[in-house]
Amino acid sequence: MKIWDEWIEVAKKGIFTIQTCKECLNKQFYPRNFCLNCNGKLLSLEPLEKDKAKIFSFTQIYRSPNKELFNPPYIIALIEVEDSVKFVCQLDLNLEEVHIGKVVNFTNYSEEGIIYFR
Amino acid sequence: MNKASINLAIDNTPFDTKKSIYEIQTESILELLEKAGLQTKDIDGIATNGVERFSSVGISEFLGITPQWSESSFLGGSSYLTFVKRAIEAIELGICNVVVVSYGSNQRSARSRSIGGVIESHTPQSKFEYSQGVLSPISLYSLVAQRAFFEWGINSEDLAEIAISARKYALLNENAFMYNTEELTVEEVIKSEIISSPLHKLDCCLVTDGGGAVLVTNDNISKSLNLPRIKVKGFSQLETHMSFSQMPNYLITGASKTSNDALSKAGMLLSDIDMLQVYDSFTITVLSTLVSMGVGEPREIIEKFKSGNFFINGELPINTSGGGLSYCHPGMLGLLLIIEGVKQLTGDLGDRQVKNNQTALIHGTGGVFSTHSSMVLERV
Repeated sequence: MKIWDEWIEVAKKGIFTIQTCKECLNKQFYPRNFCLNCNGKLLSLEPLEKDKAKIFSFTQIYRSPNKELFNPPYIIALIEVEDSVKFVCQLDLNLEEVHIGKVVNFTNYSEEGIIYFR
Repeated sequence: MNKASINLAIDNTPFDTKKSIYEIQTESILELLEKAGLQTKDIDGIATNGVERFSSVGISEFLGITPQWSESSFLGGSSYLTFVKRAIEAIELGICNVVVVSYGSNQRSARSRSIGGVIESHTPQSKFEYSQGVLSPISLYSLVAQRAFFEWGINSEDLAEIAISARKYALLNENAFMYNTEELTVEEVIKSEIISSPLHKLDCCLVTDGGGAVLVTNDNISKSLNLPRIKVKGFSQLETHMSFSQMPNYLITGASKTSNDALSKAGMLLSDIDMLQVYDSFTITVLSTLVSMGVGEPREIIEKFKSGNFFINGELPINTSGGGLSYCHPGMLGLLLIIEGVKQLTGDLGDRQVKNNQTALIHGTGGVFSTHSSMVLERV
């Protein structure tokens, strides 16, 4: 999907974006070709503001879903953006540093397509 | 308008015998038909999925039948509750008279289950979630469990009680994978391998072969054959999301709406229900489903598992076959939940027969709490 490729290109440049409707200001993740709220088609990818994302939940993974790409243990999180969307990513943190409610920020989008927050 | 009922149910748990899906399904169907006094040529409606791309067509050809009604929607673990309801509707509309709803999987012997899940690379969930290294579905259920620990103040020891209860039931069920084993302890569960924290191996359902079949017929036929009649008194279905990030509420699931709707359509309250058969892909699935259904507060539910209130002679027996955790989990459990409900309402199940067996509430969950179907059954 073209909008996903655009989102990835921006993420590769170090900017994590959330799609926002230019008409009703609704935010949505993952990006789509229309607004879920008003069905408008004018949407933009807006950078996630600093310190607005928190860990909603997390899990440390001990078996690899694909040995070429993933070396356990690593931590997957569900992130909640203040008054907005949720998404899944990896945490660039050790388990003892992780707790629900911790504020985290985007670090990078890897060549393999992994979104890192810490 | 015609009237229709569920009549008979057969489970087939070969576990690891290298049988094909076609063998597992037709074994169940032939046993079902023989018990009913029917033959394959009497079937004029079929519902199944997970066989091949044209699932109902493939099974019909294998059976040598040419049905005028079929159903193969893919809703994961809730599919088969929907199939039974739609079969009843089709018979009531006069489209068909004898429907077989069947399922079979050889995922264990064929080693077809991957811990990474089924990746369809064009989907949002693959692009934005599986790409992150998620074990699907366990890691997503783990994220729900971790959140439940935070919001509900429960822990791994509490979830272990659900696995312990399932094992106790399986010890009474000679068709269960864990029959002839021993009771579990909290320590065994929490010391089993952590796969995706906080869930351990023994918090997870089995990976087995298995399947079964359910007969749904026009009441004129079931009366002439002197078959039992189980009525679907209430039914409700809901889809809430596919990608995990789109789940509307992580602890109170779609089971809240579907169970309430199904009970309301049946004109019943939860207190009118004699037993529950709810999808147990993981221990957390059971807890969040029961909380969502209004069975109790999380802590109260755990205490009732501990004290035996949900065991065979307790106030509300739950998952009397041993469930996906200890009886059989052939990829999708939905049909086996109905089968256990029907058997309990019609049969003589010996040590695991629930004494009060007039009504049952069945709940199927598919995906990651993505699809929900609740069904109230009552024996005529």
